[in-house]
Amino acid sequence: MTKISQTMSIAELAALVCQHLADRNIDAVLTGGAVVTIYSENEYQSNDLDFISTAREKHIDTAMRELGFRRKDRYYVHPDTAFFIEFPAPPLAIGNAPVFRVGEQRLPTGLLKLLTPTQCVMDRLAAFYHWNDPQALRQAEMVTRHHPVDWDEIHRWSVGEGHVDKFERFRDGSKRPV
Amino acid sequence: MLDRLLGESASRILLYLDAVEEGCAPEIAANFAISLSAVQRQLRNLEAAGVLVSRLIGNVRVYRWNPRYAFLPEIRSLLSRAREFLSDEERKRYYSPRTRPRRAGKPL
Repeated sequence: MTKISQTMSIAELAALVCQHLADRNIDAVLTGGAVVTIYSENEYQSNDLDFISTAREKHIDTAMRELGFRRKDRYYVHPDTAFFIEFPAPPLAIGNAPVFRVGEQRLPTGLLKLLTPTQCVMDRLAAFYHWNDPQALRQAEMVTRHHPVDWDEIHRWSVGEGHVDKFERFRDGSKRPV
Repeated sequence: MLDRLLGESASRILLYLDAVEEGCAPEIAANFAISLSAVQRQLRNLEAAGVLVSRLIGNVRVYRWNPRYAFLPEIRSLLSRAREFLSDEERKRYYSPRTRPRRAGKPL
């Protein structure tokens, strides 16, 4: 197995952790800001890897310790990387809707399961819709500049969330030239 | 009301927040005359579970519902239904705190 190091990218580390967990029958999906970093080609930098897993906490804990991580409050930290890992409470959901099908990326360090670009945009927009978080809006815009997304699906979901006005603001912002 | 299902502290805290939308540990502990540490622990658990979110206002951590929690409508519906079974006395005593502003310096 590849050794965790300071030079490892967030995607490489995420894939290594995801593969290690999968090898122990622990299904985990990367969500949150780390996915934005991956899809925005590092235009946005996150140090925080959020994995959603329905596995039992003690099983996750054992697997993470095998990789050399130790728990510090809610996070797992490792002496050879500045990235830290958290397992927010399941379920994997965007708004009120459960997420079943996610994306995958094959990296040299393993197979990474993560939100698709469209799901990632909706995940960020949820923060913008509910908390008026302008950073989350900018992150959603970043993803659309680097990856095609399903605009119809995002629009449909935004209607369901009751935030058509904010969706339009996001759509207009995404058309801005870089 | 939901003590057997959720535990006494969690049940009271959730019913309280369902009534007033947001609150901090000292206020909730004083409202129910229960220990501050028990309320703080329960609020942290509810935040870790994704049910609540918090932010610091000054040096007070204020908790409120997490609008992104997948089961929020259902859990609030359950709490709302449970509050219908509270006696008038319980409702007035524990779940109807003053939430309108009070001007600084105004005599009580």
